[in-house]
Amino acid sequence: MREVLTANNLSYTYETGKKKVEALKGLSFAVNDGEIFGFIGPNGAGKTTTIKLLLGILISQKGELSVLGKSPTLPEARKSVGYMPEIANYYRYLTPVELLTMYGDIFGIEKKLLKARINELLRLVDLEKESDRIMGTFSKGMMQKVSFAQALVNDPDLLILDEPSSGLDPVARKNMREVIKSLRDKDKTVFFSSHELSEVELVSDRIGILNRGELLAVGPVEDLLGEKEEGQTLESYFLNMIEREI
Amino acid sequence: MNVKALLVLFVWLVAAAAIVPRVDAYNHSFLSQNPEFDVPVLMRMLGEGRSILSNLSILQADRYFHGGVGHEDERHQGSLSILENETADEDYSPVVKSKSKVSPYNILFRIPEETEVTEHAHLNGDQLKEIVPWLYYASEIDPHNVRACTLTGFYIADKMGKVDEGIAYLRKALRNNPESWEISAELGRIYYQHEKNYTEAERFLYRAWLLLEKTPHDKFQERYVLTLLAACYEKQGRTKEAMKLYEHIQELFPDAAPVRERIKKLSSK
Amino acid sequence: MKAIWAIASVMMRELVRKKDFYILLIFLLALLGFLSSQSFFNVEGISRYIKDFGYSLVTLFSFIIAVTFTAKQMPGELESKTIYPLLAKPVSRHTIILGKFLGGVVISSISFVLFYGIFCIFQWIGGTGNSFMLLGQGFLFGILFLCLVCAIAMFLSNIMTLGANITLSVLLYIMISGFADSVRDSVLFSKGITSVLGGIFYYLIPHFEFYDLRIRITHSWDPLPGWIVVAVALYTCIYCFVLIYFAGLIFRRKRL
Repeated sequence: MREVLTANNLSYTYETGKKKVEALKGLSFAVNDGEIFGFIGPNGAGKTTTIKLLLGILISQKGELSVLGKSPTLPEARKSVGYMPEIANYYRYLTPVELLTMYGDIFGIEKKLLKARINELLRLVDLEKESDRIMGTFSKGMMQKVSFAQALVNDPDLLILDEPSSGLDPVARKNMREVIKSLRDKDKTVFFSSHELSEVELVSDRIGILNRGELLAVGPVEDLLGEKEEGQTLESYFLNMIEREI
Repeated sequence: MNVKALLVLFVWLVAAAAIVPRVDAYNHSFLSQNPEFDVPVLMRMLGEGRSILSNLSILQADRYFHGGVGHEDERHQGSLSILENETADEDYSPVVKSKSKVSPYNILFRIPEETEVTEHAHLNGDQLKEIVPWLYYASEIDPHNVRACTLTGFYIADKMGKVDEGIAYLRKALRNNPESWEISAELGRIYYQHEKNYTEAERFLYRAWLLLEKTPHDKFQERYVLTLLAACYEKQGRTKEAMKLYEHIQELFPDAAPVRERIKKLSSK
Repeated sequence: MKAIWAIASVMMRELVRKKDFYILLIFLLALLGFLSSQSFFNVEGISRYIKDFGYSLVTLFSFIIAVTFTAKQMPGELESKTIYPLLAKPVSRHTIILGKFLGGVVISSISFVLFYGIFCIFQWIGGTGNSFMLLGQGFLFGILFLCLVCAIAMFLSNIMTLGANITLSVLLYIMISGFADSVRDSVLFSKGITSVLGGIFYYLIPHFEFYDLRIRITHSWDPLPGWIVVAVALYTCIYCFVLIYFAGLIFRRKRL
């Protein structure tokens, strides 16, 4: 199976004045083509830093990183990547259609194709009726839906989602899970970070547990859960792992 | 928070609009010994800054007179052409641009030589109306700016040919500045020259003379007022009174030939 | 190019949807209307002071739009975190800076076109229009001036806060418009090291005064010679290119 995303001995240190914070310490993992990879860890574990490195927003100080076979610092590497940020904040004076058109234009998608794609995406996230409303009036959940739609505008091979379900109501959350699963059926790769362990358990093929910049465990959900004692959930397994580290 | 801030701003503005003009009017009338005058609230809120703005407005009128260009010509350094009653005199030929001393390769130093207007020109004829707004604003901003008042009166009556408007304007200016001999003299001159109303001219010129006597002045100013007043008397056939004034002028300027001739002419009558 | 235009187009929608532009437009109409309706002692046909105020207002209002809209682009993107989804797209940081700069130029130019159009209409109604050539030069110089203003605001937005950027941009405009001539004269009349350092300083500062055709338009002087128009256009292109290039470099080094 082709590796869509590989990180080898990845390190990153933030420097604020004299203070140095090691966000990632020799992180190594790989995500295969067509799988859903859940990235979990407590606050400050380094999840968002990893995602920023994957998108070329930050440049790795040590180690190697490859996204779809290219260095993520190259704009071409992001041509088939979709990204949904943790905080769904977009230009409040635009409508969802205008926002998606703008992103579609950046990807260089042909006009007719883009129009059809936008309609399809708005239907998918249930925002058809709000398609021409200024986003300044949108709720957090609606913005999250717009955020998900924009991540899919280029029909990406690799989708990177940062806390995708935060701010969504249970119905929308279920819908998103369905969409993510349907992406697997289309051989798309999904890399997502979340606090919602139950959700990760429900959707992921493999998970990685990150704490203080180090990867504690990587593997298929069943394999990892197989190691746990009977009756334990992913949540208790995760907590045990973290506590062992402390 | 925003509503509170707006409320505070509103209260501050209302208070300022209510208090500042009154304080300013009191200060002005106390310090200048002049009565209060009719100025819009906004202008009063400028306080003493009015005087600066008023003079800037006169300077702007002078720039307009020169086609928007300042006094580049040495013949005008340190003076205002509009005060000198200049027009498009023949001796003013446009300044021909001399060859630049800056190297053509020193491009950023060369560009301003071309973009800046440096030619010398004077407004003439109908074009002179273009300076009127600035003169109007100069006297509107500071009604105690006597120079602005007399200049405006002169341009309206003499240059624009609007004698009635000029007289009405100067009468209003005189109400704001009752101690000004200059405005009184200007009114007298306009009545004399344009209206041929020698009674009114005499009234204002005589008043100007009395006011002039009360203030420090030079003999040229006195000669100006007295010459006009004497001319008024002459026109009314009051030769004796005119004679007295000419003699007074001769005391001030013993070598003035035209005055001597005038006296001779009147004596022979 | 499509990506640059896509980024710039967002700013155009911002201009249309926010009140700033309409407020300035109403202000301009009201002020020009007021100035035209003023009567001075029944003297008719006074036009130069309307042209003077009108041209100054058009320049000032377009400058306000150029500075405020361009200066807030990058801080706004960073503060609202909208920069992250944008950076995740296949665009380089230079492209983003270029897109934002182009957006600033386009929206301030659109505003300028409207403002300048209104100014010309008022001139035409008053029957005191200028030569077509001079009005054309005024228009071109206005656009070039806005390009320079946007480039400066974009460059500064990468190294300082929004407030500091706007303040410095305004100060630069006032100081250079007012004192560039004095600097030029003192450099030309100085010798030795003072002349060299003064010359370097003079070459580095943005020459806003090159674009000011107010006196020429107000008093209907002759249009500028063609080579000056070309020289000023070239100067603007070079200055903008250098500023945008360095803005891109700074933004590329910025840790987000």
